[in-house]
Amino acid sequence: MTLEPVKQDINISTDVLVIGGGLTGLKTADQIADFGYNVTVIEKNNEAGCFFSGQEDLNSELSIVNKAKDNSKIEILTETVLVKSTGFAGDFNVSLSKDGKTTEKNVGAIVVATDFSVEPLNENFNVDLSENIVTQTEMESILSDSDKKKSVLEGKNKIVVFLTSFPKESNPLALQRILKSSLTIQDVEGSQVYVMVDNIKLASDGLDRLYKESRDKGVIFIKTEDSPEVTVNGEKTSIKFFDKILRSEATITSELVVIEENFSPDMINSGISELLSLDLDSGNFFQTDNVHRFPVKSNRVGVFVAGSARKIQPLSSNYTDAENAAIFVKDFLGNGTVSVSADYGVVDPDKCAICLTCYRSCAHGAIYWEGDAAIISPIACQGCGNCASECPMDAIQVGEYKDDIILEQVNKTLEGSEAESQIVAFCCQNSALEAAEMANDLDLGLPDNLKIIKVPCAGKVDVDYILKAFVNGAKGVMVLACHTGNCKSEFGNTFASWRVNNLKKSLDNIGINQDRLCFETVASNMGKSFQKIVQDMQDKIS
Amino acid sequence: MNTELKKVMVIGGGIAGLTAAWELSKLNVHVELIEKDCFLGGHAIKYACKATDKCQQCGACSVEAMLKNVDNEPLINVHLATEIDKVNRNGKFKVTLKKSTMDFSSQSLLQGFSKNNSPLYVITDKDKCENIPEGAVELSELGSEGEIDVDAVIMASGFKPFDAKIKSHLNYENFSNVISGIDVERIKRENGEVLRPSDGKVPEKIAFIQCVGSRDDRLGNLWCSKVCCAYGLRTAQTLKYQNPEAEITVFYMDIQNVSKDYPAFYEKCKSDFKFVRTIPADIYPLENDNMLIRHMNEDDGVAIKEEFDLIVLSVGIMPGENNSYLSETFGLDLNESGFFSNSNGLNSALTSKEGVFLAGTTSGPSDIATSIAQSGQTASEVIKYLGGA
Repeated sequence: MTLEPVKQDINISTDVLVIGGGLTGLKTADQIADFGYNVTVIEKNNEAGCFFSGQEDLNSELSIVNKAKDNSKIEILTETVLVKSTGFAGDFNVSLSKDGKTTEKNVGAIVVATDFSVEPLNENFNVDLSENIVTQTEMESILSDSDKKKSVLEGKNKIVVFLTSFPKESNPLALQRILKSSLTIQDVEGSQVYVMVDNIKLASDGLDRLYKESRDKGVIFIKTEDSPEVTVNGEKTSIKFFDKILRSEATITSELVVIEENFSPDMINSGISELLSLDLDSGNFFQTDNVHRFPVKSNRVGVFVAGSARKIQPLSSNYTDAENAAIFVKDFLGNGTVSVSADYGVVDPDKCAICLTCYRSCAHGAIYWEGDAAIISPIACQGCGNCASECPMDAIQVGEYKDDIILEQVNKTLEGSEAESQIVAFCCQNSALEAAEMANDLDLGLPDNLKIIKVPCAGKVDVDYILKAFVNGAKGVMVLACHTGNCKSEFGNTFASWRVNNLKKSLDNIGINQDRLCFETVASNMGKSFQKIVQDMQDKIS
Repeated sequence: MNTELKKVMVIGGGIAGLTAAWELSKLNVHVELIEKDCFLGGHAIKYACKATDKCQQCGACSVEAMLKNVDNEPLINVHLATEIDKVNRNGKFKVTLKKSTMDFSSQSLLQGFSKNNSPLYVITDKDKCENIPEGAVELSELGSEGEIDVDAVIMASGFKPFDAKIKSHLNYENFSNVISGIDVERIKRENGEVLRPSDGKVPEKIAFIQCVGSRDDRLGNLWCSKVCCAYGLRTAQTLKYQNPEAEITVFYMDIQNVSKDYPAFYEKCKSDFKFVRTIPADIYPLENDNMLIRHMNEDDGVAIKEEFDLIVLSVGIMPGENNSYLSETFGLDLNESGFFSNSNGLNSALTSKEGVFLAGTTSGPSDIATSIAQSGQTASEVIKYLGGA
């Protein structure tokens, strides 16, 4: 194998695996199949296309399910789960298990479209569910069945209380369900609906109008920040709360209490995250909170996440995700050939000690090992170079950012007699470099002694580069990165800040004032901030 | 089927139009991108980064990235300072373009954020222009006329920020330190931090007034703009970060969820700011360019007066000003709020007219991330329509 990354076309598999056979999964599969690719959908339950009843427009949902089930390019495997995955974008080998029997498949791309689960939040109020304390889903099933609706509500003059957003903030999806149910109940003669809520989550199309309609029809909204106290007295339930308008405690006695449900991530998310090396967010949904991942990208090339796998959102947004996932898959798979530019990392097998530092420092899951050395997938590698900086053997070189090239740039930059007044700034091409260009274009006054060296990611800034700059006489060295949570390689900026901070500690020992080195973050569109950061450094060391 | 020779017109060069154009070009579709303003990027390109010590996921930087994509894409043909004159539908669309009717006369030199292929400066009045920057283009050189045949049209004509002047009691026009959410973005970009307009000082006592123009029954604006809690609270966080001593009060009705890590973010906001659940009725001037807000104390119901040195009005998203003209020209329906209506509640891209699609805030308020997502969906629908499926 060659040590030099080369521009090349690589043939890939164009089959696709979709994990999750709910509405989003089937919609995604159908769309991808319409683009001409074969799709395998795996669903952990015994039926695909089961969906959550709380959402609107059942006919269109059924038509999506049927269209996908009838599509000859889609294979739906129920009671099937992913148990193993090896390989990379364009060439994933996945093991699928059904009843203990495992089948292997080779796919080019994967879409994760797992479902969510729904749990009633009655324990938050220390009450059990009963005939008089029901979940939102139960309420909906009562309202959708005219006999049940009649027996529960008609002629009963019931006070119905919905409890939402206690103690956890709710979401527009839950509010939409409450408003729809409220309107139906309020229409039943003699019924009175109260909705007790902290923040009403109206940030979805049409909800403010529905909210007004509910109020116009007589639904009463009580806004209170503290969780109300719920006590069951036989068939009645009393709800005690602090009335902000009366500024005193008040109690509503209700015949029917409707408890909100929490939408939780699918139980299988953690397992899939491990098998596919996919990042989860703090709530156990896929995709970190990072603008570079939106809408459906994951930390890995060729793996996309859609719908409630990544976020609880209205059905229409899940479909938006499905179409995005499909178009991203089409864009990646094309006609079965991926063109790779020459900016990926390559491991020198003679230097590699398979310590796997690179494997651990790769955000994109692009590194594996075979025989005596680690190998980097040219398709999966994003060229950030974090692994190259971490490698204790300097065994990894990245495209146009090879160590000797950058060290030579440092040399050139600091040639001549003025080296001692120079500030060398290693600028991430995604943020600091852009900001520097903007500061320059807008004439914001960058000092002449600022020398910029472009890096693909702050994670590429090797301690050697910084030391080289000091050895060659630089007055100051800056490592300028994207803000935490904004790194395209997830944590290249964090690694860079660790390196700088560790190095700072030892600089004093070798007689270099540690103020001469800094790590700062800046956004691509903030030319003025860039100028300020540089000025601060200038002031500090002059 | 081969879509190589297909051509799509995208109306609007904001983040939605840019994303739709870029997604289509990646799939080998020619795009005619029409922008009535002199620059690409729409409102969002003017937004400032709202990072504190970490990124707050406002998405402003992704607009710049998308603009760069489009600038470097040969399949996308950009028409700046251009509007739609008329449309003939005969199988395809025959669209007649005209020079923009926007009034550019307020400044003799316009500065945009566009890079590379697009001009950064546009001269509207050469005689009044003192220093003409290198590469500046005269307005008369911009603007396309004539007919273009296209196979499909994407409406990405965007929104109009609520004009805070309409709510005169907030004194946006009268007090220099009452500024809108849009002004904050500009000030932050120009200075790298938020300074108050009257004297350039770092503000110390700041009020954010939410829902300005949104959720306003009297104005007939029965919608939540979805973005104001996000930008208001994120901006408040940047103010607190730049000046930890700053005291910030948020006047609000209901706080909406902001980004994926919302619970943690909201808890931090609650510990950093004072939240008052009311929208103040009046703002009074004080001698030192400060202002007084009178509101009711929630605990005892007594009216209290509080002094602020900066007031930010979180203005909402209103329907685009050309919506009625464009909807008539293309035979599309507007919904009761004045945004374009989509023909299928579950698909924001589709309209009642075959071959005409929607993207971004044309169909209602959405943030940058959602606009990007919707534009991807729109591109997917267009590809299907063109027979690329």
